[in-house]
Parts: sequence; C-alpha cells; structure tokens
Amino acid sequence: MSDLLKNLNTEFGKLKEGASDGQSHLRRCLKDTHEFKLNIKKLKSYLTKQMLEPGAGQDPVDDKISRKRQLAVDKLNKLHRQWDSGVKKHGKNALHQHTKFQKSVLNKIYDFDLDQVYVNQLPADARQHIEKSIGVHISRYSMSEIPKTDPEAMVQYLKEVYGVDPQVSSSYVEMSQIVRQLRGGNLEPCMRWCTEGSSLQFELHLLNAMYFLQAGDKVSTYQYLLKHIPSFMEKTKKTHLRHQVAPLLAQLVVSSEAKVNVEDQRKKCMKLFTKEYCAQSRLPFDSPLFLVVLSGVISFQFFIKYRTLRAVSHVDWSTKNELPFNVKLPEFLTNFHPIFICPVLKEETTQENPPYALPCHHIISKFSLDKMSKNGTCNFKCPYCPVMAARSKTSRVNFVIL
Amino acid sequence: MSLINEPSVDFHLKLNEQSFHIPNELLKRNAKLVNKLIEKETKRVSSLFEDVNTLMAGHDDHSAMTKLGEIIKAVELLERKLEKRITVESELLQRIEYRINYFKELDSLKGNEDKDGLVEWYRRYTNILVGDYLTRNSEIYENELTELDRSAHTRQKRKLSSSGGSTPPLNAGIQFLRSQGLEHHLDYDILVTANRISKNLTSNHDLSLLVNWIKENQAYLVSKSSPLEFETRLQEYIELVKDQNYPSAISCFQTHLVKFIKTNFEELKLASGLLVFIKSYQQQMHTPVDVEEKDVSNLSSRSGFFRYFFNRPSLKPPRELKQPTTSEVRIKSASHANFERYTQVLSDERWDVLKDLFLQEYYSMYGISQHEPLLIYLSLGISTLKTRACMHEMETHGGSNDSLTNYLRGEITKTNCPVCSKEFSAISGNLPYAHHIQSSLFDDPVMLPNGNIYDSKKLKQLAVELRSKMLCELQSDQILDPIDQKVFSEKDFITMYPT
Ligand SMILES: [Zn+2]
Ligand SMILES: [Zn+2]
Repeated sequence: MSDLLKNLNTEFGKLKEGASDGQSHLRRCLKDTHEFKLNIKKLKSYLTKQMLEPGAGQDPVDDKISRKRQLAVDKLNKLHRQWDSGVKKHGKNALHQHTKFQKSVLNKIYDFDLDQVYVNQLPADARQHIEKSIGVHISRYSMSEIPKTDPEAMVQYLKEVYGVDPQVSSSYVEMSQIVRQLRGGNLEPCMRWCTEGSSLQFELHLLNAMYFLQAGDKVSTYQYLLKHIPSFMEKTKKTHLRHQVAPLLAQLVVSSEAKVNVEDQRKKCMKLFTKEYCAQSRLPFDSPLFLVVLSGVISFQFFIKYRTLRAVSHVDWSTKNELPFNVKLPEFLTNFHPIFICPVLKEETTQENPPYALPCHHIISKFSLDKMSKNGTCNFKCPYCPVMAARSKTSRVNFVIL
Repeated sequence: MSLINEPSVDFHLKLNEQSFHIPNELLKRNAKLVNKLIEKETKRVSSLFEDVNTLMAGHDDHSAMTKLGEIIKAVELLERKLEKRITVESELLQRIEYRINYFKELDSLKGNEDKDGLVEWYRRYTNILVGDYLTRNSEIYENELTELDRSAHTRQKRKLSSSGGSTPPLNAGIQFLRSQGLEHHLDYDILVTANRISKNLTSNHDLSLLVNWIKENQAYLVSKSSPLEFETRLQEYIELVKDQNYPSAISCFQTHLVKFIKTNFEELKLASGLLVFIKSYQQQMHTPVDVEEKDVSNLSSRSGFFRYFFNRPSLKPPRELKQPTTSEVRIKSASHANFERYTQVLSDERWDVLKDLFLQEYYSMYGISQHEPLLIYLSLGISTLKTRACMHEMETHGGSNDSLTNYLRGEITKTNCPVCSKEFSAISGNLPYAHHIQSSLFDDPVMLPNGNIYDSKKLKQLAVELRSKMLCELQSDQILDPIDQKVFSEKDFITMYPT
C-alpha cells in the first residue's frame, strides 16, 4: 500500500475502532449522561419515599432522618460533579481527536489546490456544451440503471432529470435495455440481438451453461453444452473454442460444488455486447467526457510539476498555444489523429506548416523545406540520406489514419 | 505501478484531499457543537443543582423534588441531542471509510495489474465528478419534475406545499450519485446548500438564506475580514430603495450598514445618494423642477450626508482620520457624474456578483476548490488530447455512389477523437495544443499519387471489405482512396520513411 494511504488507513482505523465499540468520546458522553439520569431518578424516588414516611419533615432535627437526607443530597452532588467534569472532558477529547487527524493525516495529503492548475479556463458559454456531453455520458453508461424500462419513458426520464437531448438518449435505449436484462440474468434479448457465430454468441452460451451449473443442475448444464457448443463450432469452424469449454466440463465431472466465476463471465458478455453494439451503431465505445476526464487525470501530475517550475522561472504558460510539456497517454487515448514531428524543426506539422515528401521518400515540414532550399532557389541534401533534392521535386503529403 | 501512465495512489489522494478534508471539517464542527451544548447544559444543570441544595437546606422538599424533576428533563433533552450528534458523527465517519476503501481498491487494481478494472474505476471517478457538477448546478426541486405531465398549476401548488419540509428536495446530482451508488463519495449536502443559497440569490432575488448563513458563520467571516456581510446588507438596502420602501431602507441602513462606515465609506455615500437619486428622479417625473438638486451636493462630504439623511452627525468626526484616504480624494473629484454609478448599483448584475462572493467564501471555508473539479479536469484533458489536426474535418469528396460515401464517412474517415466530438470541439478552440516530442503514425506508410499517406495493410483491407460489401468494383490489385474515392493500383504505392 502506498505510504499516504497506509497512514490514512491506520489513523482512521483508530478513529473508527473507538466509534464502533461504543468507546468514541461522544458515545462516552452519552453513556455518562444516561447513567447520570438513571442515578438521579433513583435518588429522587428514594428521597420522595423518605418524605412520605411518617414523621418526615415534622421534626427537622430528627437525627436519623436528616442524616439519611444529607447522605442522599451529598450523593446527588457528587454524581453531578462527576458527570459535569466527565462530559466536559469527553467533549474536549472528541474535538481534539479530529484536530489531531487533521494534523497527522490530512495535512500530509494536502499539497496543492485544484484551482492552481486551472490556468486555461473554459469559456463562459462552455457550460451548455458540457451539459450536453454529460447527457451523452449518462446515456452511454447509466441508462440501464434508471427506474424506467419502457423506451419512451426512459428517454423522457433522462430529459426531465438530467436534461438529456432525446435524440442522444434514444440511440442508447436498445443497448441499455439489453444490458439491464443481462445484468438481471436474462440472456434472451442479447442472444436474439447477437450475430450468429459471433464470439458474443459463444460467450453467452458459456454464461448460460454456468447458470445451470450454478443452480446445481449438472444434467441440464451438460445437455445445454452438448446441444449448443458442437454445432456452434461446426458452423463457425472455431474449434479452438473447445479449450474454453473444457474447464466447465471438467468441473461438471470432478468438483461437486460449482466454482465457476459467473460474475466475471457476465461482465465479459456485457462488455463484448456493448462493444459490438456501439461499433454497429457507429457510437464511440467510451463517452468523450470520460476520455477527456481520464486524460485530465493522467496529465494532472504534469501540470502540478510545471506549476512549481513556473513559479520558480516566472514563465507564463497561458500565453502559449501549446502545452510546455509532453504527457504520455495510453494507446487508447492516442491515435485519433496522425502526429508528425518535423525531424529538422522538431516541431509538429500544422495546417500552415504541412509535411512535404522529398524524392528520397523522407518527409520534412514546409518551413524546413523553405529554409533548406533557400525558398526554392537552390538544391539541398536530405537531412537523412545523401540524396540531393530540389524544391520542385517535393510534394505536399497528408497522413491519414484508418 | 502504472498501467496506463496514471498517477500513483498517493497522488490520487492529494488530488482528492477535499473529500477527506470536508468530512473531517464537519466532524470538527459536530464536536464543537457538542462542546457548546455541554457547556450550556452543564451550566443550566449546575444552577438547578444549586437551587436543589438551597431548597433542601430550607426543608422545602416538595419544591426540591420539582427541581430534581426539571434536572431529569434537562438531562433527558441533552441525551436526545447527543444521540443526534452521534448519528451525524457515525455518518461522517462512514463517508471517510467509503472513500478510503475506494482508494484501497485503486491500490489493489494497480497491484494486480487489472487494466480493465482500472478503467472501470476511472469511470466511477468520472461519475463522481459529474455528480459534483450536477449537484452544484442543477435546480433544487428536480424531484418535482417526475410528474411534469400534470399541469403547471398543480405543480406549483405541490411545490409550495413541499417547501414546508415534508419531502426533502432532490437535485439531479444527488439522484445521479444515488443511482450509481456513489452518494457517499461526495459531500453533496455541502454543495446543495451552496447551490440553494446561490440560486435563491440569482433566481429569486431573495437574501434571507444568505443572511441566515452569514449569521451562523459570522466569526469566520469577520476573521478573514470578508466583504460579504456588507455587500449583502447593501443589497438588502438597494432592494428596499427599489421597492420605494424608504422607511425600511433607512432602518436597514442604520441597523446594518452604518457600522461599516470606516471600511466602506464611499459605497455608503453612494448608497445614501441612491435614495435621493431615486426620489428626485421620481419627482422629475411629476414636476419639472428638481428641488433637491442643491442638497445633493452636500452629500459629497461625510458629515453632510449623515446630517442630511439621518439628522445626526457622522459617527467619527473627520479629523480623527489620519490621512485622507484614496476613496475620499476620489469623492471630492467625483461630482454629478453619479448617474451611471447609480444605475450600476441598481443593476441586477449585482446579484451575480453577490453570488460569486458568497460561493468564494463558502468554498474556501470548507477548503473546496473555487471551480468545479469537472471543469478543471476537462480543461487539462482537452489540452492533453488536442492535436493540430483536431477540429479540421477531413475533406472528403463524395462521388456519385451515395452508399459508398455514407459507408466511408460513417466507418472509415470518421474520428472518435473526443476533442473533435460535437460537444467538445465547441469549447476547445482557445485551449492550448498538446506538446508532442515524437511522431505517432502507423506501420507500413505508403503514399498514393495524390499525396495521401496510409497504412498499406489497412488500405488493402478496406479494398477487400468494399468488394465483399459490393460497395465498389475493384480489381484484385486495386485499392480505393477513402478521401477522394479515387481508385489506384497497389503498384502505385510508394513506401515512405517518415522518421
Ligand atoms: Zn532522404
Ligand atoms: Zn481531434
């Protein structure tokens, strides 16, 4: 476990432990108060009883009675003093423990304010667009969890509660309905949706068999597998899939208790299905909002680091149109567009400074080309090979990612 | 361990310091309340005990027993109040626990190199940010909307009746977090209060909630010499003047504003001038002669305006001031060009200014960032993703074959770049580009005679697909350029060496 998390966990454990077995300072306060109340009640009824005794109050100097009275009063006062100092102490301790938690735990995880990196602020009219992107996000991931199941009602619900554009949400209706059924253990709608012979179909068959096994019905499991898998493999020629069925069969024979991980298989099916559904409906698999936020999380540390550097060197980053540092993103967050860095200028090519191919099939940017050819007036040597090039023999190129 | 170049668990904790800071802050407040309660009640009980002792000593047993009964009642009441505080405490402790567990989960996902699980974890992270944004910005009475189909009239009625407190208002943010099982991850109570107070300012032009909040947090506001109370009372005064409720306006001025004379002299002068301004403006509407004109000029001195409005000398004689302040110098030079300033004071924009000021104080009191975290992450994320090619749609040339064009645009040349999505391209324009130090292209780049460079394998694959889908007639060694829909031979491929 990371250091800060470990510290947080241990120190919180101490707070929590006290609270759980009734030992927290506030609980002790309450307990003392409760006992105090019971004791006064007892003393009160004792005193009342005494007063009702014959002769009580008639002779104030009656030794025996007045001694008893005095004892009770003394006890009363003692209880009061004890309670008074006790609850005050517990109250102080309660406050103290949170102050301590602040010092020993929270101050250690305080390093920066989020606002400090918000240098390039979004324009004022950004909110309406962000709210639309939230609409896409909710439609994509959360529509199967809303309290409505009828297509029209689903769209209406998202519109009323989150202001989601019906045009956006309606393209996710069918998907969320099938996901909801899958999650609830009903494979039928997904089975109907999937393409014959697809890997989704195979995984669904497996999941179904697992359900039988989970219910302890070995015969049905076996019959189900027998009925569906061989014909599936025959049709699709995906005989290698039998390796995935084997463990299931083995469990049928050997182990008495089903230990297949149904939950994992269900998740696998849901993921496969959403992937295929989004691809078929030309919807991005992940919502743009999610991808942007994830990129924001990954880049955050670089912004923080640069903030410190900037403070030292007094450089203002907001005036530049390019971030002053490189952030390495994972593959699924890159490759949306081709990126070509001119090997001469070490700068990314742009609309104004596009890439050009030399006769030797090396590529440089227009600005470099202009510079090396002295604006087309002379021949020059390719920076990467010995081939000479003339400006007239170069051509503008365009990278396209498929 | 980093699976997708994500930051360490420790960094995540620093990033989310707020979500531990706030509940602990609330725990502290809770404990402070308990201490106050104890202090008050022990005092009361002590004095009752003194009474009991006196009565017992004076042998007034009957009264003593009544007092004892009072003590029992007081202690019982305290007990109930303490129980409430304990419920609050355990709820807050639970919040912290949920959050610690959430980061423990991150820790173990990283440890197990579970990339899918990690991405899922970040989806929840995003949902918390979405919940935060919605909680801060959505309307408060969203729970009413589920019955939108009924007429507006009945809705209005229900709204009024529910404001009595029978159903707690639910906003979209809380609803969303609950549906995701994430409600323990956000201190939405804090955010909803902020939202309610600020919406009450901007939508209803109502100060009552803000005034209550200021009263409750007076000590904090004074300690950082916040201008919030002054601005709030000034607004109250301005609204009374606007309503032509002059007696109340003057009383508000005297009770709440006069005490700021030292710190806000210029604004106060303007405020009192406002009364004259409005009055004389109204009189001008009736009679062409401006009777008050010459008196208004008196207002430029401190004692002048006090005498004029409240018929009493200013609180401090001018000579007590050390040096003429800059504001005083400005006052002398400022003459009757006040018209514009008055209209500014009367403008409804002041409500937004007041709201911003309130939120600033409120957020900093809890150590919450001034800007919605979602906006901050989006700004960073967009810049990190934004390339030079973003938001320049690829210029494709559709041929006569519509189904081919549709297929190519829908499946081949369309980008899934989040910055290029409809929603984000609208806001990414002014944000900086990502900084790249390395080319990021594809394998086997080949150039076609038209200058387009493709991944040769993918280009051939596309040709196979187009043939099988019968979208385009191609010979076995031919390919189609999806941008201009021109057909080339594989022999035309020129292998490129981008470095
Ligand atoms: Zn070359
Ligand atoms: Zn893009």
